[in-house]
Amino acid sequence: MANQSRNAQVVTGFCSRPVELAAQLLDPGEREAVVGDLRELGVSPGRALGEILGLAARRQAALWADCRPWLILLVVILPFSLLLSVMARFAAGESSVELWLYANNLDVALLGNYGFWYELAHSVPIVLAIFLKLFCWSFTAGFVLGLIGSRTAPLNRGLLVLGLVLGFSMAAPAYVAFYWRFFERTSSGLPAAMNDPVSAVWFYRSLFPVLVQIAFVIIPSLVGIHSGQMARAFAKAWRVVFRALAFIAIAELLWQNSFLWVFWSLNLAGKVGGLRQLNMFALVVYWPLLYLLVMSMARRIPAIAFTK
Amino acid sequence: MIGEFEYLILAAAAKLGDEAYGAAIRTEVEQATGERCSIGALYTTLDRLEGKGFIKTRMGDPTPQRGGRSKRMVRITAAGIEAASEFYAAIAKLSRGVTWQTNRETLRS
Repeated sequence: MANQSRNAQVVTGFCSRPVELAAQLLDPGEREAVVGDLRELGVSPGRALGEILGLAARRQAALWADCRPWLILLVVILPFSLLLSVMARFAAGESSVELWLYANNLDVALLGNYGFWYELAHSVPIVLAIFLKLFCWSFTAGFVLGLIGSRTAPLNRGLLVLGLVLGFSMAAPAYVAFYWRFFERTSSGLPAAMNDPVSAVWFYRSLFPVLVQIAFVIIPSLVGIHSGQMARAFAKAWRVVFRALAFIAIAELLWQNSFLWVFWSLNLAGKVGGLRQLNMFALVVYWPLLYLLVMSMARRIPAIAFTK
Repeated sequence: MIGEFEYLILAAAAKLGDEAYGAAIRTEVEQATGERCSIGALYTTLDRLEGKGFIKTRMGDPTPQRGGRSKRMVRITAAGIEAASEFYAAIAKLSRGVTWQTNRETLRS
């Protein structure tokens, strides 16, 4: 009896949170065998953590000997990191003007003004749509990543976050500056100085874009990766449906934000803009909202089943 | 031709017979070589050997001393026995007539 309780203590001691978390990097079958082996051998938690991380590193290194993870990195992770970071910068810029107008210039006298409420009712849906779309596109990018790269998912998750951090802090500011310089040069855009009163406030200049990037890009894309991985277990018909939705949403992302990547050619921008007029799938962009709603219902109502 | 670590694992699995699984193989290898055998090296080599058809693995029953976790049981195949025999024969053939004591003394002088 005393022996059993001592054994249980050893087991509890071994089963530390970091070890359990690190073991999540392994496939379920392997996790079972490896954690069992380390426990049976009485390995200390620190050494067990090192051994599991070592095995996970070897597994990832072996996967990266193939061309598929590199293709995912070059075709999905890097472009989406940059595009979503640039979009977040623009979303923060657009909405900060609206926020500044209402939050920093609010006057009690304005509350009785009909025009104020009319403008507010006009601005709120626009700002909401900007953030909802950013959330949905980030989720979709993560979902695609989770769907196509299950075995490299732990590293993909880390690479996407790294890409989003670097994209936001280095690549996006450079790209946005280039974008505005282009319009200043061609005089076809608005003068960049028009938003100076807003960017003079530290919150709008520095903190707000970071909050937007975290809340509407990084978190939704991580949720998307997790959802994409879960969706791999769905019945084939559902997988086809979700792949189609994700594909249309990505196409919409490229169309609706074509000003970000074809602004340097008026001719090409006109052609892409023309295609946008034919756009019949604008609402598909918001599919993640429906997906998350249905998934939360499916957890409560067993009759809604997506798995085989 | 298999590598030396692959041979050690095949030999340990053959010695353990029906009781061959991750932890037991690791203990055998560590006792025989006096070197640490990492879980990473062990499991990636088991996968490689399985890929070459030299062993077959299956998940065993969970046991209490493993906290209710299953073992990855290992069984050496006929191809594995042949590969290990070839490696052993090559080592034995190459080592025939070699006196390590003499060589060590030669190196010292």
